[in-house]
This record gives sequence, C-alpha cells and structure tokens, in this order.
Amino acid sequence: MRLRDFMRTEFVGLEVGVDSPDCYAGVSGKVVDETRNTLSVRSGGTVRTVPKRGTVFRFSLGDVEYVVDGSDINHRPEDRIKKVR
Amino acid sequence: MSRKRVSGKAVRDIASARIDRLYAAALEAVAEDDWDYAARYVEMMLAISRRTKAPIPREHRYCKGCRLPLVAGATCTVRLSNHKVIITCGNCNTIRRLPYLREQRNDRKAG
Repeated sequence: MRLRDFMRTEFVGLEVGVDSPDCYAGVSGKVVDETRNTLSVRSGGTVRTVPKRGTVFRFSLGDVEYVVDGSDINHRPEDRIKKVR
Repeated sequence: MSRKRVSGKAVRDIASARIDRLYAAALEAVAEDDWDYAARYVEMMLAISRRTKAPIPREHRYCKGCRLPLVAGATCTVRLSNHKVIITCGNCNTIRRLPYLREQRNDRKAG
C-alpha cells in the first residue's frame, strides 16, 4: 500500500509510535481514538493524547511500517478519505 | 488546480473497509467492558457512512439512542412479546421492536 492510501485507512486499533517532538517521543501503543487535531494512544496503561500537527508518527501494519507526518493527516477521521492527498 | 480527486469507487471501498474495522473495534471494546469507546467507534463509523454514502451492513447493529453496539447477552436484552422481538439497550433502555410478520404468515400457511 502506498503511503497516500495508508493515510486514508482506519487508524483505530493500529500500533503506533511517536518519533518527535521530544516531549511526546516514546509514546507507543494502540490507537484508541482520533479527532481532527489529535490521536489518542494507549501507552503503558495510560491514554496519551498526542497532537497531530508537527508530530512524526510511525505506524506498523503487519510487518510494514509507515512513517507519517502528522500535519498531513490533520483532518477529521471521516474527512481523511477524501481530503488526504 | 492541484487538488486531485479520488474516484468514487475507491472512496467507497476504503470507507466500507473502515466501517467494518470500526465495528470490529467496537465489539472488542464491548468485550473489554469499555462501553464509552464502543459507542465512540460506532459514532465514527456512522460519520464515515454519512460522508461517503457507503452503506452500514445490516448486521452492524447499534442502539439508536446511545450508539452502543447491540450484542445479545452483553449490551442488550432480547425478548419476545406481543408478536415482536424486543431489543432493550442495556445502557440507555432505548427499545427497538422488530415484528416478525413474515414468519407468522408462513406458520399460518404451514399449520
């Protein structure tokens, strides 16, 4: 799957890690919720809400890894299908 | 214009896949007794459907009142009364009545 197509799929339930910025780096786990500006990740027993804008996410889907710039997916989850390009 | 459009079929294919994924996630949340997230996932599923005109399969049952997925024995009670299947949501007590007229008609013909 191309990166562009991946950014249109569902994130809830996927494994994700945060690369940067430093204050959110190290957050990793399953995506439990998504809003227009944030992604909520269950990381080590707590749910962390990470802003999308300016964050680099590392999604793993099976054994493929997608590095996504959060600014590119800064849309409501239902809008990502049509708006991401 | 640099805005490239996605074809309608591609949109609906992605949307259907996401609808199935979200409902599965909602059922998982119910299994873990996390009803708030379950209702949230159903709400996201409906938002995708509204946005893309992708249909929600009939098997993806949810409560009209609070969007909780309806799982017999877990989130709702299923009873028969007055020639209807009565499904009561375990969270908000919203009642859904499904008449079974066709079965009754068939019974009459057979009997």
